[in-house]
Amino acid sequence: VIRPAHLPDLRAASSGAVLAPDDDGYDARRSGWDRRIVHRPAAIVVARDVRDVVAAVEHAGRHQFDLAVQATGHGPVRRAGATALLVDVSGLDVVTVDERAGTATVGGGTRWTSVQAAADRARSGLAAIAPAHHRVGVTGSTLVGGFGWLARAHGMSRDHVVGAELVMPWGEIVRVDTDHHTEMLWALRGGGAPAPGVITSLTVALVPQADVYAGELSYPAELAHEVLARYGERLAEVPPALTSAIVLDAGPPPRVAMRACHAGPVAEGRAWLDEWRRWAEATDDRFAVRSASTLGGLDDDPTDPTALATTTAWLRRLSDDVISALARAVHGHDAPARRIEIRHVAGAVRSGVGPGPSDPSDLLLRLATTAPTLAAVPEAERRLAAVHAALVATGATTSGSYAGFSARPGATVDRVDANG
Amino acid sequence: VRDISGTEVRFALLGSIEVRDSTGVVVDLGGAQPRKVLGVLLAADGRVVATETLIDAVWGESPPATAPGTLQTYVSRLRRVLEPGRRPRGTSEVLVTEPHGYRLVIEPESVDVKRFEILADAGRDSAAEGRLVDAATALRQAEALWRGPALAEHRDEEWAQGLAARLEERRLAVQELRMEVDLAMGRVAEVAAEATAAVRAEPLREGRWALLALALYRSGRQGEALRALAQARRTLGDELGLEPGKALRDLEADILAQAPHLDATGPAETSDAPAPPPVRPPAPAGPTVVGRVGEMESLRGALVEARSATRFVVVEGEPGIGKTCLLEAIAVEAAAGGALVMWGRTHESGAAPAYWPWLGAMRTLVGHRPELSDALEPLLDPAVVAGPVGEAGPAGFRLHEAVAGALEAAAAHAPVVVLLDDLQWADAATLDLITFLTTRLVDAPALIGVTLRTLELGRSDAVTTALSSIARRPGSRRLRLRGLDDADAAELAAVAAGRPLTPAVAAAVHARSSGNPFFSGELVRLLAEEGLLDDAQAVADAPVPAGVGDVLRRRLDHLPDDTVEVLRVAAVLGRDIEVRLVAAAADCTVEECLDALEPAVTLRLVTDAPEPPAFGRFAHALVREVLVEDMTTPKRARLHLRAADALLATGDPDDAAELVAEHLWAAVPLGVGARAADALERAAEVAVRRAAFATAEDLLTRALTLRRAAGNSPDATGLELTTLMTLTGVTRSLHGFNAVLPLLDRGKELAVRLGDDDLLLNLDWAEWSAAATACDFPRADPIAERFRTMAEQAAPDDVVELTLGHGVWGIHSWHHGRIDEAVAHLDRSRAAAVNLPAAHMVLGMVAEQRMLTELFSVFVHDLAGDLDEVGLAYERLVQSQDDRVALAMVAGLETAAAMVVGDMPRAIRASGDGLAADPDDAFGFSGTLNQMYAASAALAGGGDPDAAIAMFEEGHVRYQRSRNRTGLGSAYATMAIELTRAGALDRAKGYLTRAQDELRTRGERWPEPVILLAEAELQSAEGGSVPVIRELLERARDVAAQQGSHAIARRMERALHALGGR
Repeated sequence: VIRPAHLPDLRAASSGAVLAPDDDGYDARRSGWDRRIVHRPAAIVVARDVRDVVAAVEHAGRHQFDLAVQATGHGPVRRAGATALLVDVSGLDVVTVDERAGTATVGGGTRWTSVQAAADRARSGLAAIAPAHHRVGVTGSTLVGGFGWLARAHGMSRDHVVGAELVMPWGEIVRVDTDHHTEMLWALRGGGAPAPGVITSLTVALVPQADVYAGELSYPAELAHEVLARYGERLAEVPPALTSAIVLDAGPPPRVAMRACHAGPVAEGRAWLDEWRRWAEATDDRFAVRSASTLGGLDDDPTDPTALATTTAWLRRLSDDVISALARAVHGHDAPARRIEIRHVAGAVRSGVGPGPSDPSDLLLRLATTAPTLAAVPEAERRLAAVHAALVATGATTSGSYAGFSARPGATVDRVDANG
Repeated sequence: VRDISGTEVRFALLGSIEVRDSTGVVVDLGGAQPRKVLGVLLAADGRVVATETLIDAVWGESPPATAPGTLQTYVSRLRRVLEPGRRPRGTSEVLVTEPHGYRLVIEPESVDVKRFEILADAGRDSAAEGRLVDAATALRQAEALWRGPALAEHRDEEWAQGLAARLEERRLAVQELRMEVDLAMGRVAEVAAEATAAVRAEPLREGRWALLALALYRSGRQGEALRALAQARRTLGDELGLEPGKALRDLEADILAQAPHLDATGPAETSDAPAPPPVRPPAPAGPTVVGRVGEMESLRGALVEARSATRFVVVEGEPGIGKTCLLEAIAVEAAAGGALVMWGRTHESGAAPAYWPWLGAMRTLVGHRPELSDALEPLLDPAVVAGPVGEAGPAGFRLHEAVAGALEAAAAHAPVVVLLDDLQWADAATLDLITFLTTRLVDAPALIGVTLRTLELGRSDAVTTALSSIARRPGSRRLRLRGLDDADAAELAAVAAGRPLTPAVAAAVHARSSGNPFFSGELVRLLAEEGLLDDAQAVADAPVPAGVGDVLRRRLDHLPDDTVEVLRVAAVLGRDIEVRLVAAAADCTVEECLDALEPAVTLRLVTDAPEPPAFGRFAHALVREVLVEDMTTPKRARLHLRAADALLATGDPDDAAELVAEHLWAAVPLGVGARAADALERAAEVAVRRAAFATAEDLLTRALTLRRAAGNSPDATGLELTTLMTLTGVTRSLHGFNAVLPLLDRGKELAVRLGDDDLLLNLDWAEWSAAATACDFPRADPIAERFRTMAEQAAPDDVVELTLGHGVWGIHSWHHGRIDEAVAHLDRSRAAAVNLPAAHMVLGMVAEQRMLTELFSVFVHDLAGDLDEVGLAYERLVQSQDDRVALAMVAGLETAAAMVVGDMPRAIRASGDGLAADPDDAFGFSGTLNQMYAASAALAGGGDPDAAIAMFEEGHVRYQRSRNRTGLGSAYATMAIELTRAGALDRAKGYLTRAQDELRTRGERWPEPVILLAEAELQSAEGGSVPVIRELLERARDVAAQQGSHAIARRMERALHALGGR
């Protein structure tokens, strides 16, 4: 049933564009980064300010449309079909840094790159606690947690939310902070409830952070077993300010890499790295003293819109059978995964800030592969699931997954609802 | 130089004849004739020389008439020279006139001949007394007196011949004795060099050949030593038509056998003479390492660290890249620093005998530290296994522990360096041992280095597991060797060519070989052999083979056919070339074999062996691989067959067993299946003795294939059955009871065909124990019935049938929750077992049942609650078992019993005992069951629920991997109880459900009361109603009482009593 969109009304109420399926720009706006999610909404409202969002929300309520929100398309989003209005908030991208309060207030469509740039411009020595990829949107990534390269030193993105502006389903604009609507603040920081409205801005606390020692050591893929074994063995000795991950990459060239960021004294991080350097010569060594704002470049996940299949798991240990299964999954013959990332998250999940990942395990595992076409995504997912099952059979996994890592539709959408 | 007599030498015959005055100046004797006269007089050594004799010496047979007068003139001239202070015409006191002639009266020691003899005698005596330094000093002084051939220009004259010959002989003897002394003092390199020259000078003196061979052997150049002896044999044969003497023949045999006495050095120095400069063998020249500066630095770093902690090093790269060379270089430095270096090399003939590299390394160790030979006996000289084969884990553990302990003991004296070459060909047992050592050796000053060829991408097996365990070690190093850069490669090419190359040629070689040192060396040699080395254009234009294999093929083409043929035989046998073995396999004499190999040595396709008894090695594994690859399959099979025969004729039976088996296996197409099967079984037996169960399983599986193919005759069936039963034992050791079930069906079929009742009984027992352990009661119970019937019908003195029958039925009854019946039958089984002959170990079944009977009877009595002193009963069991598996099992049963009867302090203590008996989680069945109970015990002791659950689940995964189920119900239930008490109710509920499911689906009933108790406790913790809880407890009590588990029933009474207070 195609509902009439009453677009003239909406267009009249909006300062930004309102796009119907036949309009130019509709196709460009409807798809996000994850190509599995193809929105076909009745109309797209390209919001230019909070009043446009209010107008869209009220219009949806009046004409009984579902409401979907897309900022940058990186978070989990519900597919918006013909019964939906899609609000594109990517235009709400103003960043204001308050150096005295040590906060940044950002529009609902802002990417972390803009926040970092603003923090850098302020030259205050303050850094934003961003997820690993800085091109993703602030709102979506923060609501699912936001696990970045400073996580073990400072926690996750959501731990730093100190305020927000929301448009409630009835069109009211509500400002949340540590003194007002605090229950909603806790919800946004990971209380587990879906955001009760459309987030049009977030205020996040910045942290004082000197330059970090961060980068990547690459080894040839034949060393995958040994690198993983060595990494797993040393987790207990990892300095608390060091956040690290292992990446198995199908290439070309196939390789295994250890990425890390040490947020404490550079000498301490370098000492930890030097032990790796003594062990074996890396084919590429990109560790350097960097500004925290540049950490988004630490990893080279695809940044173009892509058809991605992923699965995640919590790992209890990196035993030989787990390592074999992982190495085979990326580097074996006809391997199902293009990339596996194993993040060391122990200590990153702060107590008392709402539920984190459901298990206190040390390692978060993400298997990913890009399918050549959208149609091939289910098959790619099926093969990843087989890898996952093999891992479960080793007894080394624990239950639970992490929404910020897994973009499986339906599995985690409800928690964040319309704030992708 | 010490002066023996205080007299100066004035008269010298050792060379041309000379006289010195008191100031040491050579005096003019007035011409050749007076010199000859003096010579004759000196040669007479103080005796009177007749005038005629002198005249004959000077003028020969037809002297002129003036001769006597002229002689007088000469004498006068001599007197003036010899006695410059003599008054004219005074009586001469030196050249004295006698009635018929003349005589020299001088101090004997003033003649160099006398001096030489005194020194030679002194040197000989000192040597005989073991005063080597004195001996060497005296002998050297004696030799130093010689200025040339004795009596020089006169030595062929009649009067001089005898003396000159005698002196020369003596000189040669002195030289040989002195070399012998030097050799005893460890100057092997100098002696080797000197003896090489010495045999050239006097090729017929066997003593120096012996010295040369011995010096070479002690320098680690066994191949050259054998070649030297072969050359001696040829020389003696060609020149004299003689065989070498016994001494040389013995030496040759000893070198081949690597007789220990060849290494014996001389007796300790006892001289109090001033110490000579310390005798130190010069640092042995290491291999030429070009480039590799960073890699050597890294290895040196590891070596330094290895003085205070164990370090592991992996060197990886493509074939020929220089891995072994690098380790050899560091080995030389380590040895120079006082470390004990031992090499282990994987066998490269395609066969991988268990622990092969370790055998080599540990034999070197025992050679240096004989006191460790007892500790290493399980590896080097494993005893025959009597009776049942134990669990694989503990047996392997014992052996691994022995090696670790020996390395630690040796490292306490000096750092040890173990280098294992070509890990990619290592057998599984060797890799397991490496993995073990990475966790076992921590502080021992030891460096363990391995080389391996670059892994294939995605590979995942025992090699990667071992490498991963090395990677886990702190301080370990991982070196990947790549091709050398232009400059280094050019230098290396120049070394191979023996001279600098033009830049264009060097660049061409580098481009072709990508800086692979072995490839470029071979390429340079090939070009040199083909005369292309100086022509850059020719190098560029010539159809130079693209791959190293083709380069080697072309170099092999330059060899005589005989040589290639012998090389092929050697290649099939492996990388090390043992001449006796190769000769036997090639069907030629050792002599012919050495001759045939000589050209390959000249072309450097074969080099000296690093250790005896090998004669040499293929210069590189690739040489061997090319030789083997280029043979047709039938040809290869024939050579394998000959290799097997040669090994059987010459080898150590234990070491050779697996090699023989592999060679025969490769020769099966020639119709030697039966022999191959026999050999595989024999090899499996050796492997089991070394606790290399995985190897044994592989060998026996192949033997079984061959047996099956042999047909259905009664003989063939019998052989197949024997193989099958052995395999059953090994498989059970390796994978647990249940893994053997697929083998048993075939076994029964064969036993029925043969009508072998004993065997059927054995198979039944194996099947029952497997099925019962898996709680597969539909399969287990009918068999148990048959055993009960057997026990009931057994004659009173048939202790075997009584032990087995009642034992099986007793354990069967326990599974099904009939504890009273279990007690009765196990008591009868035990009573019968007391009278079992100790040697009765038929295929292990009876012995195993005896052990189970002893353990289970205490266990069921514990459940029944009728033991007077529970602790004592288990203590007696512990005393009677010396096997750690049995100890783990005793502890496991006591933990289970204490846990279900509610005696927590005892459960905690016993569970600790169980874990202590198996600290490395090596024991499949008993170990994992213990681990699950230990999780409950940890909870009872106040442990953290998450940690306990993790521990339990880890054990659970391992337990189920071998398809074991028995005891799970009780393990789940006790876990549920302890989790409930720890307040983790949700988790407890999960375990209770699993326990109930287990009871319902599997039907193992003895844990039933405890499962009811778990339910009651959980209800109680959740605030359930008292009547419901009471009813559960009453049911638990009644079930326990009805089963005969009175100890459990009493626990329920206590719980009811406590409940009554609510």
